[in-house]
Amino acid sequence: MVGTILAFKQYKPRAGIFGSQWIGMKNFDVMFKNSTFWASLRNTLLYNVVFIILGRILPPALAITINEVRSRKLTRVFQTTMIMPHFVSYVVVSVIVLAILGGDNGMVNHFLKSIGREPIAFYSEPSYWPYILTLVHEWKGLGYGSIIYLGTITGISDEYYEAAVIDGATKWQQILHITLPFLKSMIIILAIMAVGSMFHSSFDLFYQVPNNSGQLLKVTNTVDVYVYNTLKQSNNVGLSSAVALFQSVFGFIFVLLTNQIVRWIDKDLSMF
Amino acid sequence: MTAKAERKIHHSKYGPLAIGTFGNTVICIILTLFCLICVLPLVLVYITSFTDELAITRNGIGFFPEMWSLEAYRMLFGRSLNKIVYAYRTTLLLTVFGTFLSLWFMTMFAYACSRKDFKLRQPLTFFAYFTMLFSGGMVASYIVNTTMFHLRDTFWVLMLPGLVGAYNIIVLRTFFSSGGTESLIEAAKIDGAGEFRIYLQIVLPISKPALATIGLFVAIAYFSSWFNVMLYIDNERLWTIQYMLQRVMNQITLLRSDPDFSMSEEGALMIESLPNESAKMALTVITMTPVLAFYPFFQKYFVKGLTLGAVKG
Amino acid sequence: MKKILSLVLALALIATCLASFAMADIDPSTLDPYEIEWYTLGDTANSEDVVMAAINDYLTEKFNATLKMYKNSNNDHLQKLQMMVAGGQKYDLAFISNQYGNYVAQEAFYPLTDLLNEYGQDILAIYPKALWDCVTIGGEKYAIVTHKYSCDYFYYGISVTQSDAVGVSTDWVTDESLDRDGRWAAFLNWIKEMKAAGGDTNGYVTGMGTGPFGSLYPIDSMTGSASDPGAVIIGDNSFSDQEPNVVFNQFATPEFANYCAQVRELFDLGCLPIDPSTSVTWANGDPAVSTQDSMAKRLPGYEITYAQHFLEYRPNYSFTNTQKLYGSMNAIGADSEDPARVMMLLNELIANTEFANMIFYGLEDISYTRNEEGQIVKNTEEWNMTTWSLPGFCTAEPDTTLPINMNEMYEAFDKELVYSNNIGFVFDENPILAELSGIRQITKEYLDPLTKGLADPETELPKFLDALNAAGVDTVMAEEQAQLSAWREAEGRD
Repeated sequence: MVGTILAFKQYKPRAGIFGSQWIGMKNFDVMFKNSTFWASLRNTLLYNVVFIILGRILPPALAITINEVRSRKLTRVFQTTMIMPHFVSYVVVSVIVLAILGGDNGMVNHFLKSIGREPIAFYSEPSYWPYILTLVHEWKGLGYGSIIYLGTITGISDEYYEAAVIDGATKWQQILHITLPFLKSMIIILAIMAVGSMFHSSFDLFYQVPNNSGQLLKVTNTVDVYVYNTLKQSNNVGLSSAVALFQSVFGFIFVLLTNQIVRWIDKDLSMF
Repeated sequence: MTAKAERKIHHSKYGPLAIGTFGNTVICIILTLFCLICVLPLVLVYITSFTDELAITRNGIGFFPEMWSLEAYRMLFGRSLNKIVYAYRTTLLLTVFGTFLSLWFMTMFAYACSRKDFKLRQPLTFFAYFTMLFSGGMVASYIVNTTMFHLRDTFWVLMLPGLVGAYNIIVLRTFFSSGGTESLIEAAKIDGAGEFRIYLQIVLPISKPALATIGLFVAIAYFSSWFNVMLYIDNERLWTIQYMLQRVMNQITLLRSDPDFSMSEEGALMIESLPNESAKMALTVITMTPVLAFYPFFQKYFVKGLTLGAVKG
Repeated sequence: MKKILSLVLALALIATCLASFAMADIDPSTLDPYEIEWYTLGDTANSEDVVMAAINDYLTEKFNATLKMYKNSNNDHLQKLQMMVAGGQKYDLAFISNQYGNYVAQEAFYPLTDLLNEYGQDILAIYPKALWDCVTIGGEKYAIVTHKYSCDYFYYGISVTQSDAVGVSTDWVTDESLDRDGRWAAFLNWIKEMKAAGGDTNGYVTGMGTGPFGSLYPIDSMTGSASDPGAVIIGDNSFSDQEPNVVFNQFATPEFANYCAQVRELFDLGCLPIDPSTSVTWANGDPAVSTQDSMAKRLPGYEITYAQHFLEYRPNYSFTNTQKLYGSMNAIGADSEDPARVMMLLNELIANTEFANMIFYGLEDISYTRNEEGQIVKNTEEWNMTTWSLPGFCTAEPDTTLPINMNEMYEAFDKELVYSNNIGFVFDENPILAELSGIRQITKEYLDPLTKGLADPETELPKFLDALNAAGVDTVMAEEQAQLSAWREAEGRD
């Protein structure tokens, strides 16, 4: 934590953290004066909003669906295959995406050529990429992310359901009135935590998968990629601390806001 | 109303709570499609790991390779047996002890925070979350771990920094506070049980799905850790499996990009068949397979019908 | 009286002792044992213990030292080093690379001039001046470059086999009457002819982009990266309107506009890949393959790989600058407890072939053998060092991955090699870091498409230049010029 001071200093290791020269907000200037930084910030926030929303809807839906499958064997098969994408690193994912979308030789272009149409240069065309990246992100995280919800559902006692059936509730009603309320607290807490990381992004997703292509930067540049590209040459510890501090401070403010909103709705659901 | 209700109660062999056959088929189809999408790229990964590298250079990666080869696995496993044994030992110790200790500490913290009558509940949760958001960065952590705590090149530097994660604590706390454990706790208190006993004998057993979930996450994290090894460890006996594999991978990449080597007569011949793409894929396979192997152990907690403890009354 | 006499005698005795100390060779028995910790590139292998034991015996005998090597791959090592330096970790010797200027500014390394004078006489004698200039910062040296001729050597392998198969002539490659521009025009023409005569393969030339441009018009970039605007020319056949040691924007020149137009023409004719970001180099079937060789060995490896006969087409002369030389160096840690011992080790490595062979290749019959010509055949499963990172590269015998007459080749090549005027200049980015980071984002967006034919230079090049101006490229270049001129004056380079 002490390291956050580094954001305001010009770091010299021999002087240590406390001995290094204090340069005030100069490190932050590099960030704020730069229009590309704001563009990358905008990208980061937009992507994260989409991810947070999708992340509140899809994994619980998946968990509920899996839970309803009758055959236990099938359930196990589904569950095991579902988490497998999580273990594939984004580097390998980028290779696979390349094999699918690559110019000239990729599977998609191969197919297009065989039906007589022009191949598409995916890696030079920014408009496809918000969808591609979102798809890849969901593919990788959906299965693994639903585990938490599965765990929650399993913890709901059968008695509730039995009582509901006796009262004549349909499957849908059971889900709406029993399962969802139990999941509600988990969904909300995870949403709050996700909001806290809204200024961060998965570096590998946004750097590796687009193959670090310059033309896609308009839509694939996020704060972390921006920092990496800028600082690759320099090695400036103060600068990277400054950006990290910025991300953390604002994320924190957002969390406090969201937490407060949740509190107004239902005190028990908030995080603190 | 009663007649309608009677019609709605399915008397299938799967029990009264099960979904109807039509519904079941629909969701099975949807899920199968979803799982196919998950699995197909992985099939590609598996196939590529067994593809001859030369075929990859010529044709790119695909589902029907020209030539098969075990070279990638041979390269990744070609270390001396001694080293592999040490690496497995370190990884196993780290995963087992780490998960156990981690769950122990985290559940205690989470349990305390889940009790509504606990005065420090809010500040402590806040404190935990704060550290998750604000970290000093890699350099600061390095300095703290090495100069202040002298953990460099020890087993503990692999286990301790990751031991308590705020995210997991908060999830655990949420698990504990939902699910209706309060009446049980009340009952136990009336019987005169102390806090620790309540924790140990009541809350923990009920929360098995929660423990399984978080335990799985922590175990996987420890099992795949290699970055800390790279930064802090010099002693070869403390390498983890993942780190060893990463090193081999790096060596391969290094050889391939070394212009000296790749452009000489001998080098060129070797490079042709040096697994690179296939090695990356093989690395993924090797990492994934043990996890899939111990996943069923946790899985039974997510499959309904095997949970413990209903709340009576 | 007696007192004075005894005092004089005592003084005389002390004087003789001191004198003998100064004159003696290093006597290992006078030195305490010391373990040198060396962080370098390579990997642990099967015969690790055997070879290390032999090395340590040798070193103990020579100057009572032992060696402990920690080997990692390039990227891991540099990351680990960054942490170690930031954390003030003690180490004796480490491989370093392009971050040299930054590390010196952070006072991470031990100053070497005195050590070299005392224990490194052989190193001083063997190394050429350029290798010392490039590591001198503020009059002091902080690292030892790996002794080899690192340079920028970009060339195309033109496949004669494929050319003949479709009846297109490759005479232009060896035609003496053509100058640089004439030959380049002939090359472009050849691509178009190949396209017209041949079929539809993967874009023919995967090597367009900034590579050929940098080869045709050699520059020394101020920041060390050729994609940052702001450079000076190297040699006498570079940009036509520029003076030496005057900083200019290489992308605002007519040469650059011309180059983009030429590449665009090729792209429109279908000669280049439609999606160059995804084109892996060396896709099979390419009649021209581009290569950047850091050491100009011109080895025939790719002839074997692709089973074709290639001719080498070099757009212009090869050159070297500070960044190239920085690619492989070793430095002594500032907190090392016995830097003198480390210098002794380095001197031994650079002066003594037998010892160099041991470090590079291990032990004969255990980790290497010799073939009929007597050249070393190394076995990396037994002993694995990344040899291009080690000092003493020209001292150890070249193994079979290098030509047997490597040293003669280098001597000859060195005569052709053009050196930058500003070897040793390191630019401090901190004053203009804000502008520079903006500029880097812009070049990242525009440079690739412009130099690979995807963007139409008519519309995109003006946009690129305008964006650079708006981001403050003039401020950056002014700062670069100021630092360069100041440095040149301080170093007496004129």
